[in-house]
Amino acid sequence: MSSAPLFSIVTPVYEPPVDVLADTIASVLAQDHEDWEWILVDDCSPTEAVRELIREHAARDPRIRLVERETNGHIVAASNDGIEAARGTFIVLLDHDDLLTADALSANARRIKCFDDVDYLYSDEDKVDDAGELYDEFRKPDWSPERLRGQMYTSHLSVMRTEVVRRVGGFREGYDGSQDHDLALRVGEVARRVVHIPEVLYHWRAVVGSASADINAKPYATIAGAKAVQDHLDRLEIPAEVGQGPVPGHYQVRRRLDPGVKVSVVIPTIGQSDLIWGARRVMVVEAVRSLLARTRHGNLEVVVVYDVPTPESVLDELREVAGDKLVLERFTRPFNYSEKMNVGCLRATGDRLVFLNDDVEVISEGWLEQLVAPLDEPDVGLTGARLYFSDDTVQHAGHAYMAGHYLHPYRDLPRASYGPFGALIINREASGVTAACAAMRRDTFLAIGGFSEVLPANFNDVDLCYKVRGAGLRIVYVAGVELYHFESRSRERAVHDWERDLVRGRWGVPQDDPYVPQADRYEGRPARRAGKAAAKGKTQGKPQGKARGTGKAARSGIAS
Amino acid sequence: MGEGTRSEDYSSTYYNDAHLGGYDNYSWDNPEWRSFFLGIADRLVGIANPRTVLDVGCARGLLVQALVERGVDAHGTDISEHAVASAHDDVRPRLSVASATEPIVQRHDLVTCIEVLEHMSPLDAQRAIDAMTAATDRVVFSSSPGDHDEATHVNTRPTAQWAASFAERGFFRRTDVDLGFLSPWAVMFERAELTAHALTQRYESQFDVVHAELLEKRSALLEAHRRIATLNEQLESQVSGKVAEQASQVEQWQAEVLDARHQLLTTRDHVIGSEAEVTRLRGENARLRAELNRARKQLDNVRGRLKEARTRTERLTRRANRLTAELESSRSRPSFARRAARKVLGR
Repeated sequence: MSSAPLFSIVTPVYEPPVDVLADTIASVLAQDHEDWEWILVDDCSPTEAVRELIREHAARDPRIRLVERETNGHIVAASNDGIEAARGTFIVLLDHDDLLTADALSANARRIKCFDDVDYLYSDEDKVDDAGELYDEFRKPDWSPERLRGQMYTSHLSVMRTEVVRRVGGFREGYDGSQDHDLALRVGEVARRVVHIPEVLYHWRAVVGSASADINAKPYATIAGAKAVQDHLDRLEIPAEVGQGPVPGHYQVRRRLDPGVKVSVVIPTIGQSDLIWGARRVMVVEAVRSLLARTRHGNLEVVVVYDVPTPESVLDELREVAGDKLVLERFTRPFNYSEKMNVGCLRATGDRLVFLNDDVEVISEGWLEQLVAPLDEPDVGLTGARLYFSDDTVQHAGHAYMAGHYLHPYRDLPRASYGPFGALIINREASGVTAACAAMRRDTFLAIGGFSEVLPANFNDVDLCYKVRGAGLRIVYVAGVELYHFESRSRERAVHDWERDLVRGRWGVPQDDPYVPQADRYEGRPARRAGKAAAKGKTQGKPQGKARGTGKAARSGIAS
Repeated sequence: MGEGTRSEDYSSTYYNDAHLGGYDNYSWDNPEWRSFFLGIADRLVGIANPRTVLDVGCARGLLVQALVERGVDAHGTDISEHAVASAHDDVRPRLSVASATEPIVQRHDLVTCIEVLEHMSPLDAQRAIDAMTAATDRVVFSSSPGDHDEATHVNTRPTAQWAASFAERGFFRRTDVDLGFLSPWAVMFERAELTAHALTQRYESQFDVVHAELLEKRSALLEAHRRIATLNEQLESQVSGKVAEQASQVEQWQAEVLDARHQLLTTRDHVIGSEAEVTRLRGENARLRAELNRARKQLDNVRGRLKEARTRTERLTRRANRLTAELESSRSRPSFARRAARKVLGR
């Protein structure tokens, strides 16, 4: 072979069942793209037949090479041997018992041709059982650095520019079991462009008794994973602690907020009372009480924009609850949510703005810190929260804009649900979040022109989210910020065609959401918890706890 | 207690330390002191026109010299040898060193005793008054009631006490003479036989004036205070009005700024929305154009095929026509058998 190939497939091999390895080999030989080499690194498999099978193929196809290690070095050493031997421009990471689809390499080659600055490509995947049945399809979001901190979602098939892999030092010893997560984080930090290919190019074999094992049996893997994420945050100088999530392979990132940052919480109200859990309450007073009770951030003001009919007694109660943190702004014009928020935000003096509805109650301790801190990353433009109805079902966990609709994709799932592939329990990028509880930097707010006042009631937050992303900023759903949102489920707020048309006029009819797969994919599936699905997890480094607890369609239109 | 001062207390240090107030260099050669004492001499001559004067406690004899200058036969005594020794040559013969307690040999039209007795012990002071009142009928007297900073002021008293001491010797204040040019507390005492009636009238008439003046000044003071209060109030209300006015102005400006920022915000939203719309429409336009081009191409293809089909149709039509004509012509010719039969039958 004269010139270097485009792809170097790297496969560390240790004692796979020979017929399984044969399937894997067949899936590589079946590639419709031919510009590749394949480096199989045998890590001293006890069974000679494994090596013999590879030698046999290597003799027939010069693109196949066998590297035989003299000692057993485990996955990190074996993989690094493969990277060292690679001559191709891109490294393709393939496990010894998994299958590539026939178009796996050609699909990657097509994207590489489109973007000459791409350093990392990942694609969708599913699982294959002994009978060759495919299941557990994982349709992935577009490049989501925040999500990668919560789970190794890029996983298979990962294709990385060889030069970049070598530059960041390849796989690292000490991260066994999560070594691929560690590498993805380090490559993600320096990659000029990361491309998601929304096609299943990889079948992950769930073979019982294969070299890989259930993640639940390998706590060291999740410990290594948390360490990898912590390292990553430390490298980026993001002050945070990484903890284990409720499901193995899912991590919680708790950031620290600089106490010197002034935060302004802006709440619009008309001072109404409602019946909550059988007791009447003044909504805005309890919202303010709970927001203050659940934060330790002292550098805070609460700007309440109230309509004229607000009873004086409500204002008195607010003064009592919030003291000198309270800023009251009287609003005399006809109701317009956007205008009220804009007035409040312009009046606010904080560097960080938190938009909060008056019909909420904060659940999470340290909610304000967790909601606001991600905005220290300059490319994060907006953060949002996890909201529940009063009956402990999900009201909001990020928006999805798809198939002509503006949706709450996880609405009505039980509060305890982990969501599909852990979507509810990890921080992640989203197309949008509800302004019922969201945070933004003040400069961003001014730069994008605040809430659009031509949308007085509905879709103003959708438009806001489009504007944020239009400015090249990420929107992050923060799983650890939980609130009740006592929005009446039965209330059908009138949504007018002109409102939807206005948003579409600006941003077009939504087709595919970059972060949430077509919601109807989940339709009709039984609601299952992630933990149960996790038991089927095959190996660390693959999307653990395939939290399929998707529940039903989980699509509800946004009208707020 | 009660100890007086001695000659040594009034050495050159005393004079150089400028205890005598006012000007430097306490001597006749100093034009300021000289004109000061000449002025006093003029006033004393004007008031009393004495032929002979004794200045008790005369120091360097500046007053004596001034009086002599004005034609008065004046002499002086002082306890300080230094003072007398350092006096001007012209006056020194008229001066002698002596304590004020010593009896005065000659009688004088006037005895002056200026700022002397406060330097003596109480008893010596009384002796000095005895000596002075025995030698004259008229005393110009001044003794500082305060000024306790000066170390030699060992016997300061209110003027009333000195006046009472003189009264014991039949000397009373001339209430018609104001010696304010000398010191605020200077008094001219004069021997007089006064009834209680005359004395009371003399002092009461002084008291009346002073009392009336006091009342007037009190009411003037009160008036002034009231005026100040009123002015203060006016000032304050004006200032606070001004402040309130400015505050409301500031508030109005703040509201205007907020309005302007709001306007900017909504404008920005409008611009961003319009830009998004333009981008979207441009994309749609490009897509539609591409579709249009495709459709045009398709149309061209269809047209080409149509043309081809037409040509073929024409060709085929021509052929069909020809064949039809042939058929027709062949149909129109009777068959061979019929033609033969016709010939045979002759029809």
